Amino acid sequence: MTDGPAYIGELEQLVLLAILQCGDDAYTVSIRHVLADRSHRRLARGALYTSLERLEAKRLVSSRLGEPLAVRGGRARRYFTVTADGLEALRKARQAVDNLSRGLEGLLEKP
Amino acid sequence: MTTPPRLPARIVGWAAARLSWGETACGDLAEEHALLTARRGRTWSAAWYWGQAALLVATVVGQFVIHASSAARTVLFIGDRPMTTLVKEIRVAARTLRRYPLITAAIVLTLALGLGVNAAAFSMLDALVLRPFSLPEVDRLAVVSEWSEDNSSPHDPEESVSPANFTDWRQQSRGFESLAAFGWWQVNFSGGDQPERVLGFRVSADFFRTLKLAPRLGRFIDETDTTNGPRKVVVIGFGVWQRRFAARPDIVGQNVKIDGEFYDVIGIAPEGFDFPSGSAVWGPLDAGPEALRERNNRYLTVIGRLADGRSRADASAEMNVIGDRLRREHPQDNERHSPLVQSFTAGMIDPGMDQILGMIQLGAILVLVIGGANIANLLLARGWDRRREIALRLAIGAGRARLLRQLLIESAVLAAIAVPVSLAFAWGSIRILKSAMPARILPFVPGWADMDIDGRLLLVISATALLASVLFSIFPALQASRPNVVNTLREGGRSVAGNRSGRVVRSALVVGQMAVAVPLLVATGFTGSAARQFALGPQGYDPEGIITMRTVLVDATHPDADARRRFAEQLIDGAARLPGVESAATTTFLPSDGSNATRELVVDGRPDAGQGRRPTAAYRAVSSRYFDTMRLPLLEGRAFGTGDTADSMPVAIVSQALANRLWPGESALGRRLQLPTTDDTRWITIVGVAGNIIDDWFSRRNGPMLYVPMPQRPTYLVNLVLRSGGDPTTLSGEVRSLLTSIDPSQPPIYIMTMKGMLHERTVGLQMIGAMMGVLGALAVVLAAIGLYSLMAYHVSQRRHEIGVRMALGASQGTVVRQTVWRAWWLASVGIVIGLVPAYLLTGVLRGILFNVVSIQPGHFGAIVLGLVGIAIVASLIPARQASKVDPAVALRSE
Repeated sequence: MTDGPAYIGELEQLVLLAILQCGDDAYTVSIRHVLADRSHRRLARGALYTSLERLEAKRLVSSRLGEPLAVRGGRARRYFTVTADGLEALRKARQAVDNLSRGLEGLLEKP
Repeated sequence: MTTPPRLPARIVGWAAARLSWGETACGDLAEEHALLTARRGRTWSAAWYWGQAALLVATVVGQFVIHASSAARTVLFIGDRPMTTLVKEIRVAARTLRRYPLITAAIVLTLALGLGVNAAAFSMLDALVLRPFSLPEVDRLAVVSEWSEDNSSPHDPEESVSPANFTDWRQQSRGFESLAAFGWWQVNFSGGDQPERVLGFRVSADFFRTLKLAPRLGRFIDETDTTNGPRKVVVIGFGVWQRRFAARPDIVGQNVKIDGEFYDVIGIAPEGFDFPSGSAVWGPLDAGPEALRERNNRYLTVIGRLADGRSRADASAEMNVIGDRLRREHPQDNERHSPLVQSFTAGMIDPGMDQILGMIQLGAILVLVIGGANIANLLLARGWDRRREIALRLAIGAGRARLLRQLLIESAVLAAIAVPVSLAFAWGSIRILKSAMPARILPFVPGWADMDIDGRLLLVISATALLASVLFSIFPALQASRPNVVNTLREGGRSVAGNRSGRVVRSALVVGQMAVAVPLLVATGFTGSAARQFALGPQGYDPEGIITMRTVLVDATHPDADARRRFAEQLIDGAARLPGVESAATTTFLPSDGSNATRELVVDGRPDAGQGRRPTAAYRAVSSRYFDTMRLPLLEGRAFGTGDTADSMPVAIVSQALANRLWPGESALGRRLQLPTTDDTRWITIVGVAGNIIDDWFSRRNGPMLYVPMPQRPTYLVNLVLRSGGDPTTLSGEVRSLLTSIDPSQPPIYIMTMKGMLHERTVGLQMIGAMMGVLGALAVVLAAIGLYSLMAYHVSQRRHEIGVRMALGASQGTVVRQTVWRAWWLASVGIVIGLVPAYLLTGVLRGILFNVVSIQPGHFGAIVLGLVGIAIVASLIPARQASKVDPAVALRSE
């Protein structure tokens, strides 16, 4: 990317926010739970995984493997952290929404 | 801690291996499963896990479909204007093919041959087995027959139903809209000029209604013609109406003479209708109360049209129930018989026809596969030659998909050229087959006349061509479109010894060709030897130099035994005086004429087993010189003589098979028999034992036969047999005039030589033998070409290496030996692999070929040796070329 962080879609925004919400414990199961609890969206498993892959490819998140766990059949959890680029992309996206929403508060606020 | 259920866990593992995020998903599912088990219990979590496994599988399938369709799109439609691009690419393909004229010609010819045999085979299969009957809604028709537990030969549904059972079926069945029956009725037909023997059938009132036909003129047979015994009315076939009555419409309402009696013509059948095959006249079946009581005499063929909304399975289930009921009600006659419902086509074609034609089609497919291996080999070689061109195209930015598409388009163009050539080949083959079928047999092979090149065949062959060309070229195309760009360009197109995987594939193709050729050759060998045995094998008598004439007397002109005996005697006397005739005789049935009569026997001194359970024998009434004339040897006792007259003691001669069956280990002479189902039940004394004969290649080889003197039991069937010193065909005119001089109203059914009769009876098998022979020969030639081209290529690729070896002291002999050894080795591996299916095939073949030919290890040995020999010969030319490599030249050229 030459001109700053990439454009991100709504799903990617939600995933990035969910990772931030999870803090140090951000791995696939917890991210999915937070998404389900806070955004009331039941995301298909494959959709979450491919978004994470895409975000990592765009370097908006980074990941590391934890210890192998018996409860996962000897597999490790992959923990995600939002990178500086990821934070910047979130800010830009939010800024864009804010800019576009200005003057429409009457319409957009809850009645 | 709980683990997920095992089976869905394996499914999850399988799916996960196919997804980039599969490993993570596996872990997550295990973790969430444990969590759910703790919260909601095992059952709930197991059900949830199953659901997740199913979702994962669906994801994998979905990804595959998306991937495949996008790949197909990439290969098929490149560029923003697909059609323009396609036309351009076809032009490029044509140009490329022209650049390799020899390879192109070889591929087109191989493909055309392979497709041609398939086209010819399919045309036969389609016309004779898939749709031999052009009748309205033929798929709603069925054949219902009585199947007997005692019958060991393949079930023949024709002439298997008794009138009483047919009547009960018709009354009780609801699965059929209508059921109709018919029985054989060959007649002497006069009306117009010459008397003529024509094939007809007596049909029940529902016959034409069941077939959904409308008469061309007049009406068809109905209940008024059948119920009170058959009325003397007749429906005439379109062909007879045209030929004998010049298509005069006023013939309806007039009468014609059939078997010496007058019949009213009530209708003309529609054009092209000749069912049952070869029929020219149809009369009413006897449906009078007397006839319908007959339950043990089975001579009717029954067809039915399924009722609306009923399937054949429904009708079959219902007929089984009716069959069970009839068995309980009439145990004496029906104990061992049950009704069988078959599709119309399956029931009406000759038993075994589908298997035989299936075998030929399979043989043709194998030839195509063997030829396909050659094509793949040629394309691989060409791909290797073109690798520099392809590497260059890849280097300047052509995508692999685009190259692949180009190579596939080249194959499609090859197929498009091969199809018309193959159809011409098939057209020629069909013409040859059609001309080989004797005209007398022709009407009895339903569909034969329709065998031709039609739209359906064109479609099937085009599709096969496309499929075959893509299939045979896909690997070479993949291989060619994947060169190592840098290396290839750097080499500058110099040859090293081919690339390794290409070499392995080429060798594997040749091994495969050999492996496929073995079972095909085994099938060819067996059909060939069966056909040879049918035509030329020992018959038990001497068919050489014999001419025969058949005629059938009718009650109107020869009402009693005396009249029939007088007729036969006059005929024999007249014939014996014809010039060149050595001896003359008559018989009721000739060997191999396709007809037969059997009689039940009661043996003197043994208990009578009762009707249907007694021993039986084929029954022939022959005149005194029959055995000399046929050169049928008498092993014991005497022949019939002039002393065996109507008034003398009843005597008989039995065949050796019958003597061995009834009196094993003892002499049959002087023993006595009775024919309980005939009018004359006096005891008959055995005076002679004759040798066994092949009475019919398909069903009565060396079987039990009973000969009685014609004067004691004269019948209406008269077959004159003449032995001539010279060419028997020269006598046919005189035999015809002899018959006319004795009785001008009596038509000869045929006049032909015994050799001709044998040929007609076995012509089908000989055609099959010839067709399999062609397929076998093609398979051998194609496999030999495959091996030859592989070895030639091998040598050309290794010139440098051979040069080095020879420079280091290898002799010419060593080089030849090494090349031939390699060919021998490849062929042997293929042959050994091919022996396994070939061995399995023998059992199937034996059944198909009427158990005539036994499987002998010698056959296998000959085929194996032949193939190995051909492999060695095919490799000799390349081997000699290899040995002539000049080391200096070979080394310099690198």
